Amino acid sequence: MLVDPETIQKAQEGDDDAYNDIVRLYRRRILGTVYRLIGRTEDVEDVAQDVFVRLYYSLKQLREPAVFEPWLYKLTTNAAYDYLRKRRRAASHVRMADMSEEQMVVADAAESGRRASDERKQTEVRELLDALFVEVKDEDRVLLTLKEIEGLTLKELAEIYDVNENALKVRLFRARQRVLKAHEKLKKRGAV
Amino acid sequence: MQDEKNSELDEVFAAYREATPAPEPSPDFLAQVWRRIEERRPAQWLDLIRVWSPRLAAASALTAGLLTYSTWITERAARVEAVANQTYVEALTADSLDEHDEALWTIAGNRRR
Repeated sequence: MLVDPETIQKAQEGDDDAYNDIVRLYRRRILGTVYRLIGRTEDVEDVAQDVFVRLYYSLKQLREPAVFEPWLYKLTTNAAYDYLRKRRRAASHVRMADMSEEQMVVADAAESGRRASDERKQTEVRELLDALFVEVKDEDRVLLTLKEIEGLTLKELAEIYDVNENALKVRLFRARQRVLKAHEKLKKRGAV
Repeated sequence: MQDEKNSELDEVFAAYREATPAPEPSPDFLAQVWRRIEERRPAQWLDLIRVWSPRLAAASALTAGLLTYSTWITERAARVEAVANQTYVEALTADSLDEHDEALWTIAGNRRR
């Protein structure tokens, strides 16, 4: 854990400095997780800030400082769900526009050669996974992102989702099957 | 076949992880968080109501209990005083009226329970 239990307890008791410490320690990790969950750079800060606001108002409900991180991931997941629900339809179109803008910026840069090529590869991967995730439910997207990309363990996921590990394995298997199916579909269309 | 597809998907996930490093927070990230916290903070008078409402409810219940008790005590004292002030004839009349009622119930074939 990045933060010690005393700091969490102090923040629960209303110590603003302790709360600031928590934000400073976790903001980068949360920004990364939010970015991978929602896939849109321009809204990452907004959603991440929303996570910390939710944390501020719900911190007193946390009984055990030991489960702080799964708790924070749960808040992150909920904020991402809310965002994805609102923006599900518009997301892919806007993202494509953003990427082409990013590519233009990179192309204008002095060291354009190798860097642009790397950027292009990264953009392709992001677009591929976003295209796969558009084909499945938000629940599958979030679960697979947490497990396969964030690298959370089954135990941590069980804490976040409040289900036992076996039920989680079934959910993961089904989510993965749906993504595989979407992958096959994209391949047939020649999009991959 | 299925294994091949799964490992292909794993590669996509790994590449995605590489392609999406955590963005740097803006310099005013913390300030923005606090601004949003303040925006969502309920008004102070709501806090006062939340703090005082259980106490007011307890005080009201206590007052209601005390009023009930004092009414009961007053009525009881008045009754005792009335009995004490009755003459022998008044007490006898009241007693015989009760017996008269009992007799009427018996004639009607209904015993008073």
